Amino acid sequence: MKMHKKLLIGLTALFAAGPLLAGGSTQHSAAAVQHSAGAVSHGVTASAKLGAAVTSVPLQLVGAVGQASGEAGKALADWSDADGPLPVSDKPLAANPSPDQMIKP
Amino acid sequence: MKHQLLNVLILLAIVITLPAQAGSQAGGGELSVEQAALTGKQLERALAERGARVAIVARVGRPRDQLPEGIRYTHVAYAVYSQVQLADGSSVPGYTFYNLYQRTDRPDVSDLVNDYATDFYLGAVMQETAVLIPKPEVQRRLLKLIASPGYAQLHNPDYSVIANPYDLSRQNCTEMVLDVLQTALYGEQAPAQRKADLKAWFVAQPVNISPLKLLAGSIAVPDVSLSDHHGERVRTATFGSLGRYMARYQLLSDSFEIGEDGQQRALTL
Repeated sequence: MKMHKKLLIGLTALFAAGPLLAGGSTQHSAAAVQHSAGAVSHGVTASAKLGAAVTSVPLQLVGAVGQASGEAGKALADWSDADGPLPVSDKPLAANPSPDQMIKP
Repeated sequence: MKHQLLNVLILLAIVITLPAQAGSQAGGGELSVEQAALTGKQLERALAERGARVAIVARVGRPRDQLPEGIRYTHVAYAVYSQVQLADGSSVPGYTFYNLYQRTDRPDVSDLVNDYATDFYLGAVMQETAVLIPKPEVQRRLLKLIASPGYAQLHNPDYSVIANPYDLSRQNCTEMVLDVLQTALYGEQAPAQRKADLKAWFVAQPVNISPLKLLAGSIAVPDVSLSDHHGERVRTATFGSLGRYMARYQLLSDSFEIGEDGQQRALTL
């Protein structure tokens, strides 16, 4: 292969791949910054702080988790299609720090 | 000698450039924690107002002018209405986000990660969000699957940003969402059967990038693979193609976007 062709391929590799790198699936945890960020304002709530979430359970399955699968099925069946708006906390939620963050000095 | 020097220079240029490109995944221009918290709460409220137990949500992780034509959102996940237990022992109602994320140090490998609205938006470069709310019967089936061990069994950690949704060997975040939806609809079945059904019913998004660029990307970028496309035109699952699939087969009860100004508007699929 002639040198100018190799150069062309190399330069293409340099500049061509950019749009492919959607990068949209990388994880960005609030945990690393939430403790220093402290209060969150801008209308979330006047004095809201990030709620450090430990765990969660789908609300339709609360009370049924850990029980027989038939119980989970009952919880799902009890959910009415005509239900209106759901309550949601004013507190902005974020995950707890990752294990490696927890052992950093 | 001159020939070898040129080869080395080209190789060096590629290697030196890679970290800068990879760094753009987590680089500047992303939302602050405050913006992410605000945007996350807007989304939670928009979902709760509609009584959504399970929704499909998408954010923009890269400037729009850097995305291939026809692709507007880069990360897609399920948002599930949940009882969230906080570190102080209290419990609050909110949404848990069920994600497939690339590893930071190995972008060609992914993990399933549950996080919350603020975390979801920290990877975004703008507040714009798109939402698909499935019909209640579809939500019910999704919830049952997501809360079961069958959910994790649908995950393939071999990641490609342009994964072929008709092939089992690679998966990206949107394909995981699609595989979960498909399994919720059809029940547990052989993976090859699921892919055959998708080939029959789901129209993937063509990736409008020249073959030379795709080839260069597959050589130079670890999370870009052509191995699952078998020489065919590159197509992948995107938020838009997923939305069109759900609309075509009447699986949706609502869909909308939240703009940069926080206003909700109709979603054009």
